[in-house]
Amino acid sequence: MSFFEFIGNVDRRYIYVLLVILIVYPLVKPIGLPLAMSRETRQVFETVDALPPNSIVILSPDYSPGAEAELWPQTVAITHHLMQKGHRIIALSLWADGVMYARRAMETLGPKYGYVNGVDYVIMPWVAGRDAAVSAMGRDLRSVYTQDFYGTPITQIPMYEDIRDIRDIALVVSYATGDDQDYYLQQLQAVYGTPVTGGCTAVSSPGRMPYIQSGQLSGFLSGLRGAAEYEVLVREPGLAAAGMDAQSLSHALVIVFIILGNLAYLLGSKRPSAVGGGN
Amino acid sequence: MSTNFGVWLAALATLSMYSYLYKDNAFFKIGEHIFIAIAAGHTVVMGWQTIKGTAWTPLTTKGEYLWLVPLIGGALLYGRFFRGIGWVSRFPLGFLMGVGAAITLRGQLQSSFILQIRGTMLPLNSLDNIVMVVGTVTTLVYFFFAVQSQRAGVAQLAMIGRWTMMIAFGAAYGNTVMARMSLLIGRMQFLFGKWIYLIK
Repeated sequence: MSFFEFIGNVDRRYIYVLLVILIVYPLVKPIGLPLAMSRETRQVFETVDALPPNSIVILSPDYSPGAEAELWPQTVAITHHLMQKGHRIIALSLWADGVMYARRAMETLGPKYGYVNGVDYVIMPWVAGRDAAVSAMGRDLRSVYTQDFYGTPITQIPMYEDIRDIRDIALVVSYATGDDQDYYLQQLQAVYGTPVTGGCTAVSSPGRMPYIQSGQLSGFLSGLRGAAEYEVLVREPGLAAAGMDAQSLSHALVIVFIILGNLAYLLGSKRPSAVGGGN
Repeated sequence: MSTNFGVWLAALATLSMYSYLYKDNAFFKIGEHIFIAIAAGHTVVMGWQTIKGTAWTPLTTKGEYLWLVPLIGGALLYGRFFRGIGWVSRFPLGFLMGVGAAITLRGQLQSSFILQIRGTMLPLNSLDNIVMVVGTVTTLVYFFFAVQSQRAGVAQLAMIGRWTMMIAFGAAYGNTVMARMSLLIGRMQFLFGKWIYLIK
């Protein structure tokens, strides 16, 4: 058996073990591989940085635990930036599960920056409807959320004294796995001109590019890498930056195996002509 | 190592899921069934809480009788499960379709159509713009079936469009790999960070 025949027949479980080793090792002993900054990440940073002082921002983690590994570090990174700049935050979610992340972001990071519930941030309960809910926010923001997550009427929330309608919102930051960021773009950005930025899973990032190209989306963070880049920009290294060495090494392994797999296919004995298959 | 029961439960559930990579086994099946059961239970509870908080409580405690309309409409949707009265579900379904179409058309026409076309009308003064315009036009040519694809010129343009799509699919695949690795890294950070304290 030649080397390439061996590669072509290697048990996939050995590859899994190798992958886990390459991921765990840099997590335990960080290597410090360089991290290039993407244009879209910098655009998010500049958008947040350029907001007038004391702006009101909607922070919308529209995801469930399935996307937590990628989108939670993004949520933390941008929330750091918003709080460093002293902006006021309406934390809400179009997903029932997402409210948990809205709460966690405010309640874990808020105390570090002296943020007070009702004054500097407000957490909203889940409202069903997704695109219909976003559309309603555009028409009459105060009618969609009449009380906060804890049941306090918005008329008793000091921060809400400055919020009459969607034009008082300086920016929407949406973290999405699928269509939810589109709802903000279609119902708020396109109709009312409210700037939208945020992040998405790496899988869905190619689908964001047309919105960047058309100027509708003010940058976006792509997966764990985007979160790591933002952590570097706001000088708050966290989970994402810690995972970048592992990400790079795992990608290198995938590239090596793609090359080896193709060589095994081309040079080994399993070519279509050799086994009588193919088209 | 963690002494938290919840962390142990999550760690064992994670390991039972990953055990499938070795081969199908009882631990994986138990984990799979528990996951589906919890997800179903969670969905039912969230659904009930939404109905209760949004419509039922205002109806019964505040006398807001207008909430009867969506409640009855929702109940009618289940008509399709009963022989003979299935037609009643068409009323709320038609309403939902109408509202959905109206909401979608309002912003989508501008966001996904007009602004996207405008975003592609670029001056050909940079490589980025040239790639964008040529890629978009040739991909459209590939899907333009009114002209015979074998005709001289059209076939070549369609071929460029095909390559453009292949490159786009390759980029999408690369991002998919990155996303899956991120999920694995997240689990490893949990197992080696919060369960057994190997990650500082």
